[in-house]
Amino acid sequence: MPDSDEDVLARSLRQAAAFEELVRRHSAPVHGYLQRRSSAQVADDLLAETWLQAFASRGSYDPGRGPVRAWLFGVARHVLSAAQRQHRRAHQESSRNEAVTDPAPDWDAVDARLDAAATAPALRSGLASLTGPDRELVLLVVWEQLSPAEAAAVLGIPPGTARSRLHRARRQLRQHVSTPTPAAADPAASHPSSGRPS
Amino acid sequence: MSADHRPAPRRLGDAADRGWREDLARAGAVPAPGPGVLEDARSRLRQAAAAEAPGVHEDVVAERAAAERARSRRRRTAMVAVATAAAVLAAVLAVTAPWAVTTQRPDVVATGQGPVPVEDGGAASCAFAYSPDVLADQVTFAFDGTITRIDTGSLFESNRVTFEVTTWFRGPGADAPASITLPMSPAAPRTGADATTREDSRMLDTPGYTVGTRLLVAGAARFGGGPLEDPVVWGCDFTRYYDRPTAQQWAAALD
Repeated sequence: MPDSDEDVLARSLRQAAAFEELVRRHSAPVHGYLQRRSSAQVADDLLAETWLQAFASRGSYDPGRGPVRAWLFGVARHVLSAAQRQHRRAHQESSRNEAVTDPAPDWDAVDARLDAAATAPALRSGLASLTGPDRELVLLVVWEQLSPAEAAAVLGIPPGTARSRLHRARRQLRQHVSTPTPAAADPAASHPSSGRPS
Repeated sequence: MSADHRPAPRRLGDAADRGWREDLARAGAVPAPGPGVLEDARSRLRQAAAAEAPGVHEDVVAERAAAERARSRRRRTAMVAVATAAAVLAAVLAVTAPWAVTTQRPDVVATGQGPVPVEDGGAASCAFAYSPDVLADQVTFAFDGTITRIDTGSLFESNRVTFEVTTWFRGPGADAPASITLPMSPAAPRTGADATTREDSRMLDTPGYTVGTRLLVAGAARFGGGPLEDPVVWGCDFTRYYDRPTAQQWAAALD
């Protein structure tokens, strides 16, 4: 029976090379997390950065707060968030001189993915109507296959809070999908200008 | 690898949610990373691993594991006890007052504000044995501060402890705040009679705290990134009672 992620991480504290086993196990899901919220190219760029940051921070992993997998998504979330901030600063800087062609790697990227997948307009508008943290919870559970408690660990919130937020988000999405509003026919109409996942 | 990674729809809610859930899962299908991307990540990680100075002692790691197992046992025991109490209470109420079953729950004894261990993150920090060199190498924030407020967390959740900071040794840089609130563990005392093993007792031999306690606090960002993003306060001799020589030592080590 292979060692658990927690055992591998503990071993990596005294034998750094052991950490590579976690890279082997979790690169695909971590890359998927990054890619779903940005683009393939951005995910390619940020995957190594995520692993380096996880390696450097492994002494701060606390098994009492969730499994290694959830902690890794938390690291990826921080790396992506830093890249988004950097991107926005660069965008503000260069927009004074020239147009920027890179898409912003935040809710826009998620919405573009939903659009490309021909996701039902009602669902798109329902997701857009959620608060950033609620939407992120839904996406962690549906896309990353995390339990509510694991998703809570990624976001640094108590599991009970995550469950109640998910309940609220689910109810809201159900309403949107079952009773489409005029806005649902045109997701851009309800597109939040600052509703990026956070 | 080139196969698509399409998340299987996770169970979220009941059948009424199945439609949108499957729709959303379909939109989450993405190609797996190419071999070049994976090799780049491995290669950069090997470089980082090779550059890391050895600073970890196996006995400390073993203690961490032993203490974590003990902690898990206690948590399981506590949860079983709470669940059992709830079941007994529910059974009694079902007999005596069926209408009340859905709203009643056993009271949880709140933790007082007396001294409790700085255990939160203690398991994490015990990955490293304290020394000024390890302190300088591993922590992302450190300060000398006095506790001005403790908001007690619920069972299994952290306290929110507010410090008035006398001196920042490392952390937020130029815009260093004069006070900061950090999560620190609440709950049952884990020293003395409650410490079930020698390792447990030793590992969790961290300073108790209350309002007015002056501590030298050290820790790190849980997920990396900024020095105070999702901060974890380290126990295990890293966070300790204030004394002037150690504060001077920290100032020199973390300069």
